[in-house]
Amino acid sequence: MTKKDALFYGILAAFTVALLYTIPLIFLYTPTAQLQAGGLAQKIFYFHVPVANGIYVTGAVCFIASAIYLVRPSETANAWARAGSDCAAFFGTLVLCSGPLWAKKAWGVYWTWDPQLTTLLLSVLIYWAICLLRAFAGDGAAERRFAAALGVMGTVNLPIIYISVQKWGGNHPTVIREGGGGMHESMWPAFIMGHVTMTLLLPPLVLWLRSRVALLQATMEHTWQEALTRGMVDHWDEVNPADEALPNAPGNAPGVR
Amino acid sequence: MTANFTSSAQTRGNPEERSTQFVPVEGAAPATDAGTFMVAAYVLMWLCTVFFILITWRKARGIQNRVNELQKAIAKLPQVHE
Repeated sequence: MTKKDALFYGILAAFTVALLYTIPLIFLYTPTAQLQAGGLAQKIFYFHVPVANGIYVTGAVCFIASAIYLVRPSETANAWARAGSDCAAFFGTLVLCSGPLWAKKAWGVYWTWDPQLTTLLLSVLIYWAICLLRAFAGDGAAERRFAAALGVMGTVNLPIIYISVQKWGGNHPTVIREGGGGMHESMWPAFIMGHVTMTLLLPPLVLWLRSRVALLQATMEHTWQEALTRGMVDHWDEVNPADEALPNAPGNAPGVR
Repeated sequence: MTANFTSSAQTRGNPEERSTQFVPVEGAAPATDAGTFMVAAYVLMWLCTVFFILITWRKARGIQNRVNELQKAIAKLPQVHE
């Protein structure tokens, strides 16, 4: 096991322990908030906000790696840019699923065109657009550069999500931000543990996994090119007496993209 | 039999009589309680997370296996040419 693998398994173990500790903390030891805030449904907040902050972490990784790729293209920068946009789309989808369930109880509606919700939706759509582009438009140099440029553009929108509440108002709560009334001290442990689990531990875990997939795809592509250059297809029966099927070429293999 | 058909048609109503607007009803019982929303949100978030980690892990392992297979096959090539 390499040092990187050991670090990955360490983070995975820490994430599992933190998750198992946070669940009873939220459900059993954290008091229910007032009815106007959603009552029992307000407990969604302890994961909703940390997951939303996960978008900032993964979006920042996407931004930095995409910018590096645009200046100095490399497999590593492309892999991390791809991992960043995939994970930002994943976290964004979680926020867009959990938020409306809380909103239904707190506001009476699943969705409203509040500035923060609208700007978040815009960002998530950009990240999904990058995922679809990378999945269906091929993996050539032009597609990679276009995806990297979109990654930079998508992340520029993230600070706008944060400041939209202060600038344009809306229904979204501002409890722990400037001008907010804060939380009762008994609610802070669940909120902090939610952040440890979903903002500190989960993003590195999924980013590492997704970047590994992207790097392996690049290795697969290069290995296949080498195989073709050396005439492996013509000699397949000779190098493979066990009569196994020819390994799929990267473009044709299901699940490779 | 005829009476049953008539009764069923009456409960469905004519298209002209269908609702054209929705108005709130004072004091109506909520269709679902807050606990249902909370449980739905948490189940959704955790299932999505576990699914995302597992599917990425499996994908990485699958590609790694194919790369290994391909590299083994390439390693045999020089012997064939000799």
